[in-house]
Amino acid sequence: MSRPAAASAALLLVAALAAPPAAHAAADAAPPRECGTARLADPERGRDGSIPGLRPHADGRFTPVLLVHGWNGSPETWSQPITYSTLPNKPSVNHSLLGNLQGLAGAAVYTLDYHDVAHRWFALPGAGGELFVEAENCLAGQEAFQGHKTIVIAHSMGGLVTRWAVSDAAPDGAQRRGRIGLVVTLGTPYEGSWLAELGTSLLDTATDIGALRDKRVAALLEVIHLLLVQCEGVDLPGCRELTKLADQLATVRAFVPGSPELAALSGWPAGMRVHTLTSRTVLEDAAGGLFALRSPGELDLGDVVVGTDSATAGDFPERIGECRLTMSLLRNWVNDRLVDTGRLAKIDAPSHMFLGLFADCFHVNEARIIQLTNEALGIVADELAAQGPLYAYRAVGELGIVRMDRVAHRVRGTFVDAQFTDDGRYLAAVERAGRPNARVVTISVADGHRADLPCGGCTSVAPAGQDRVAWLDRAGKLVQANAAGGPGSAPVALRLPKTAEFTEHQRQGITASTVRIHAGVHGRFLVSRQYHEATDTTETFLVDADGSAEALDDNGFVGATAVTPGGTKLAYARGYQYEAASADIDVAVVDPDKATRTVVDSQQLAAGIYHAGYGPAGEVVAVHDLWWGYDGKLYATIGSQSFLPWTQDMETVIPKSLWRLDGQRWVSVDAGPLLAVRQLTRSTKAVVTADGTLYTETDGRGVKVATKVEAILVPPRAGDPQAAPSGKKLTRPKEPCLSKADFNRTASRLGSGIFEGSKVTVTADRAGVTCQGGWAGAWTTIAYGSTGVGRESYVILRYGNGRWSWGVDTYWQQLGEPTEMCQQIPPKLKPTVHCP
Amino acid sequence: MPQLRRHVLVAIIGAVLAAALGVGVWLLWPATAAPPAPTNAVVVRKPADPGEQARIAAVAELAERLPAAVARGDTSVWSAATRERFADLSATLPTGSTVTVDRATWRRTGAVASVEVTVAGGDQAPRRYTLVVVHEDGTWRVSGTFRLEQP
Repeated sequence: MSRPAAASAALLLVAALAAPPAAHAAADAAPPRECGTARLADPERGRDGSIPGLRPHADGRFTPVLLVHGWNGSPETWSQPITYSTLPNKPSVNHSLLGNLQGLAGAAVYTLDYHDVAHRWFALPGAGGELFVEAENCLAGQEAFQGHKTIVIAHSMGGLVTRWAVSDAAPDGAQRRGRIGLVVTLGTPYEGSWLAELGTSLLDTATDIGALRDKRVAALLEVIHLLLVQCEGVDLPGCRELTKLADQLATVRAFVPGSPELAALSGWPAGMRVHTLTSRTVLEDAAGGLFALRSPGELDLGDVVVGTDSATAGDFPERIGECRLTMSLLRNWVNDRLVDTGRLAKIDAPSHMFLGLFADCFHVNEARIIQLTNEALGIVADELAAQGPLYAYRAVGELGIVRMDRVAHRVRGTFVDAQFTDDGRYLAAVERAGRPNARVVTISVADGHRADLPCGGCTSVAPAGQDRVAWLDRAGKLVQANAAGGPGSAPVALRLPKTAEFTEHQRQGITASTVRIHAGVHGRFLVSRQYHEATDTTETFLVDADGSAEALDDNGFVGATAVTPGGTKLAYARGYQYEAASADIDVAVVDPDKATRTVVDSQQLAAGIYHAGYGPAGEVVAVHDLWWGYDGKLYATIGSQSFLPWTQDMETVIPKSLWRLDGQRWVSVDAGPLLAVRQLTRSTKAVVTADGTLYTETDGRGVKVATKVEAILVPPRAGDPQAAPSGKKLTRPKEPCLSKADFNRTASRLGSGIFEGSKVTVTADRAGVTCQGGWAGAWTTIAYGSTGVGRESYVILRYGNGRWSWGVDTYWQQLGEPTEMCQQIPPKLKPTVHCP
Repeated sequence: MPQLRRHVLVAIIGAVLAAALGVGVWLLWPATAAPPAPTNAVVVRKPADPGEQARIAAVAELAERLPAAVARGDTSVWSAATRERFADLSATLPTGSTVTVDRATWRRTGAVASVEVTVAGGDQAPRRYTLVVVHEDGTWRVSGTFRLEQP
């Protein structure tokens, strides 16, 4: 295949990969393969040979990331593997900076190719500047990028090209600067390059260096002269770089600091977000001692081509990758001995200078130095993530706010009950819950600022409209405060109705109770009252800001709660406490404006799940997490366990899995096992796996975010009917059963441990074995020992935790009286045991 | 016969013209090879290259008078950058030392050149250095030295 043909095939593949999923088709558009002189980069293969696909932002669109090479360069600048490091330990990386950028969700990576004219001053007609403008204009007009500003990463002169393109000197420069959201430059000669001065001195035509007062340039002159001498007739990698550099010296007049070309350029316009990155070599035992005199101090030789000051000019965030070299053979020899004897770390031993100037920290390698590429990747990833969905998590020992798959803000501490404020600007949680010094801690989503609000022994917090939060102090009084900080409102006493439950408990002398706030919606609060010494009785109320309240419920304590994204409805799980952080078993849906309530009761909940029509003895269905999706549906993490009385084991019947409430029926969405899910966008969700690890997952590809996570939360925002979670649904497993022969053999073996140690022989009658739901039953004859004496009895075996165990028989009825047992076993077995 | 004579005459005239042309070319050709025009590239020049001997002589003269210059406090022998880099140049060379230039080691790239020198005298054994010089403000000046060390 010819190269153009191969390239076309690759582009078609890219286009195919970039094709949006059908569900997004209405809103999505694929990034174009070419845009002016910018070209969508061919995808770099993964370590396993796979070709990654383009992953859009939540809105189905992309951020164009434009890579701009430098003087005399080409797009290959970006596709070389990252093999350089400022440290002696070299990276073993197959990927390039380009390939790593392609792995970022939301990025569509383009390379600008102006290599044909890259030897010319970019501001000349037909040179790099014009081609950049053409490419950027094209990108800005694409549907696929609407709403997302271009990110530019530029090497060397590419940074000057970009700066020129957003200046008033360029066509539509003022408009363009508003379309470029971020610029990262690598080794850009903002204040000129040393190349020009080196050329002035080292070219064969040079007759006089003039009064060269910059000691760094003087040192470079000495070193490069000596290396040129050393490299004569020698073919070493560094010598090749040196020769290339020497070949370029004649044509870099425009880069002389203070040249008319540089002087004609204006600085970065105000408001542009720029990061300046560069590498530099620091020479210890610097060049040019003078006989008996040693050269004082160290010399910063920049990246040989551009001085550090020039590459980091301007008041912008900067990052410098630094290599250290020594000129001294003696020093080098001593260092090697110290390293060999373990008295000096290898990374602290500077390399010897010989040709080191043209290796790791050399100008042309700046897109391949792992410290700089990591920095560039991090900057771009942060920028892309900031355009991604937001959510928060509460883990053991910390709270975190996440943008896409990166923790934007993290606060350490032991927290309970995290909630977003109604405007989504703050995350609030309670630290030291219930203690006298308890406090509500809020974190600003925008900047991570933490505010501590003493809350008088509160145990929970709830949003109270806009940026306000509410809690109940130790006395059960309602306090509201601004999440940004400041004093709380005057405590308001709750006026909870004297319900029948209240009166009854008063009559029994139970007067102490704990009042707890659970959720806030439309300025009202879900509050529960649990009577001491009667922990199974809890009343639920809707409370207004002035303390007035309406009774909602008096059946079971309040577990997980959820509020619709628009704040129109809330739901809560209620029931008996089953285990920490879970509730059994009903779910109530409340319209807070009308104080009306719909209950999806336990039978309906159980019936909707999996084992419709029957339930194993002792099964407990627990709602571990409850949330209202942006698609308007109520979701829950539900699991169930069954108690096996004959083995005293708990058996998992339904793993913790994701369910959606459709009317009155729960429908499996994702079999899990998982602890929590939040669908963030159409393609992205946050998932906490069974071991508490949090991932942000986009189109099935997960990025680990945190561990030991107990809860995840999303801020209120506009709904999206297509932001619906999906997964592999829970399927009913194949029911275990036993053939008649296996039943007889298994029952005889198990029965010999049941009947006071007597060896028994169990034989099923002609009707054979009936199985359902992990139960296997038969009418049998049980013969004792060798006596041949036998009795008729039904025998039911139970399958659990991977093995059969003795269930019940006529004489050993762990399930209670026959009528009680008959309510608990599967219906198909009821005739076997002669149930009515 | 007359035809034969005419051919001989033509041959003689041709030979004379060729000889004249050869003499003319010989007369117009330079007596010695002049230095080639400098190229707009980086070229490492060696002692055998045209014009280098004069430069070597100038630098040798500079090197050999360095001890005296140091003793006098004459800083004009150093480049501007070197004068800026070293605050005190009086201890550069020990009193009574001599500097000997190894002319065969001369290498020049544009206005920067190097040559190996040996410094003898003082209380120390002779030491070898690479002396780097720059042509600055119309004359060769010392930019720096690199000691040729043996670990």
